[in-house]
Amino acid sequence: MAKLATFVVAAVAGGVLGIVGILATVGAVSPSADHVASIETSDTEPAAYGTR
Amino acid sequence: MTARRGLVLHTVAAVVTAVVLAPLALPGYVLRYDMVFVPRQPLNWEMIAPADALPRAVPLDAVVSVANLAVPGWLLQRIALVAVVYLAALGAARLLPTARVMPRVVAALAYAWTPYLAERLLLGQWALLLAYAALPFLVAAARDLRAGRPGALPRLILAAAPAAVTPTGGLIALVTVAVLLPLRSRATAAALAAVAALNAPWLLASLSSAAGGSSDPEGVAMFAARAENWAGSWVALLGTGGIWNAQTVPASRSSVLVPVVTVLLLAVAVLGLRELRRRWPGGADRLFILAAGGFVLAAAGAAGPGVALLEWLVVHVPGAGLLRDGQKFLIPYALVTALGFALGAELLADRLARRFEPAAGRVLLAGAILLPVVVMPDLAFGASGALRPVRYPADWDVVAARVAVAPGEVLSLPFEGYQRYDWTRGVVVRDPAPRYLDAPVLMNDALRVGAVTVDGENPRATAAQALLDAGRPVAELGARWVLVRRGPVAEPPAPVLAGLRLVYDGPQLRLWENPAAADTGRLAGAGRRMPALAAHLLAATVVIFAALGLLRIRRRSWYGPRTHESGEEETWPSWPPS
Repeated sequence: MAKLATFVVAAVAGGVLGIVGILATVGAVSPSADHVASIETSDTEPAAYGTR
Repeated sequence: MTARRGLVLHTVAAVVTAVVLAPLALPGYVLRYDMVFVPRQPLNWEMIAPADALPRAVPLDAVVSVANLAVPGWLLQRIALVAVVYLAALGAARLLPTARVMPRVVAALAYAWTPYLAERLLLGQWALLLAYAALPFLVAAARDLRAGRPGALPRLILAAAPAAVTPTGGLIALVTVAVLLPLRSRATAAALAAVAALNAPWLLASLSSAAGGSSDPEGVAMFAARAENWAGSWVALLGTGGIWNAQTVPASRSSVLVPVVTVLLLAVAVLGLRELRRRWPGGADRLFILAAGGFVLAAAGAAGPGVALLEWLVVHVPGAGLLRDGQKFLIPYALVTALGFALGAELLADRLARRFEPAAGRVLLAGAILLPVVVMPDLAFGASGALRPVRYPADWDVVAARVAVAPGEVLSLPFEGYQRYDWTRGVVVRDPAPRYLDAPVLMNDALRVGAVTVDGENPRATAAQALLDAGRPVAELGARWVLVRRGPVAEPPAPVLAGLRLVYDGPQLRLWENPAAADTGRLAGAGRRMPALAAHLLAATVVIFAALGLLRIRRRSWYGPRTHESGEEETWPSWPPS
């Protein structure tokens, strides 16, 4: 019973981390996101401190 | 704490640091937005008390210049950035009131792998992050001072010192001490006096500056907290994100699951905060007040009546411009959240372990350790390569040598304080001239945020901008040199450079000399900046005496915070009742 519970906890924790991780990574590599990964191409303003 | 457990925490801090700052193994300088290190930063009056600009980098610039006498700029940058991440992780881990090592590791990751740290790092505000890294040590020292433990006051001063290299960090340190320590006590008075002395350099430098104390109210909206995903700016702040600049936000923050994870994290943290109050009677409540105050400041500019109030303050109260970018005041909130999350995870793990077996609890803690990394994986490896070092073009050394022969004020054109260059791989960086050249540099302190320009405070910069707008020769300003940085921004037209003599024409920089410039010009005025110099010396003296005092008292580790030295019975030195 205890071993099964540990397995369930591990599966749930792993599942949550996995889903969050996949979605976060997809967000990170998405070329459409408004973020730092696209800084060299998305913001053509040559002399701005930043954009909102 | 046993030596083995201490070693584990140091190892965790080292691994986190190595993963976050991996690209710094490459040669060169990481140049991003406000982060400008140069090979050797000169020590001159502008570093101690800027004549015309607000002292935003006081005493930071003087500290860097003095450190640069012994350590080259590339190494100094690496020491500073490593200190930020390493000490943040170690400080949070050691501050957590627990006897177990895994919850401490949870706290380390929850504090060193945050959106706050990532976003401020990407904005290049490494000095503000020194305050972030120092806060756990400051809190621990305040706790020990309140309990009358030996060496607490020197430790408090040494923890406040790195925070106080910027006005914002210095204020956070001062308020932290004021909130955490009891009102009427000699120790409190001594601590407040010492931390006030650490703040004296920028206070006195602001008095000698010609810059007006009021700021452009348009900056309130421009630098207000920003939504990073569907959940809005307040939820972004709750997750310690929400910086104003969309260009310095890790991409993963736009994930649809981020708000859900934020709520999960806060739910665990609420459990932990109740436990924190139990383990830390009196002290935890004071820390909560500090965190709540910081959060209110951060949220004030985003919406509601706070916006109008801030706009009134920045116009009418000298120095209130500091409050514009309120998200930076989330530092105590980030610490409280990290401590709460770690304790909450420990509680849940204990329940699981009691109900089933110890392994179930350990699995849960392992998940809690990994959660901050999984939800923001792109902080790894220098925020996915954003912290890649670059090399300065050789032109900079040539121009610095020319200016050093005949020092005089330098007008830096194009008149933009921030600009992207090919040689920075398109990354926006603050004009390096004020730190590279051993001369006063007149640069534009107005800040462009998208299509909006937030006016600066420097009256000479305003005059220069008016001259440029009118297309009149900049020689009229009286600067001895005119530096033209070549890049994507159009170079000044010929009439603007009329009357100047071209003395260097390189691929990245051009240097013009103004034959009509006065010899001394803006180099004068040392007398009125003497109080700022005295304040710097006072702050340095306070730090030196604190270090000597601690060396005399402590037998072991001087940097604290320490929790329990032997045995596990006393898991946390409790606060005296409030």
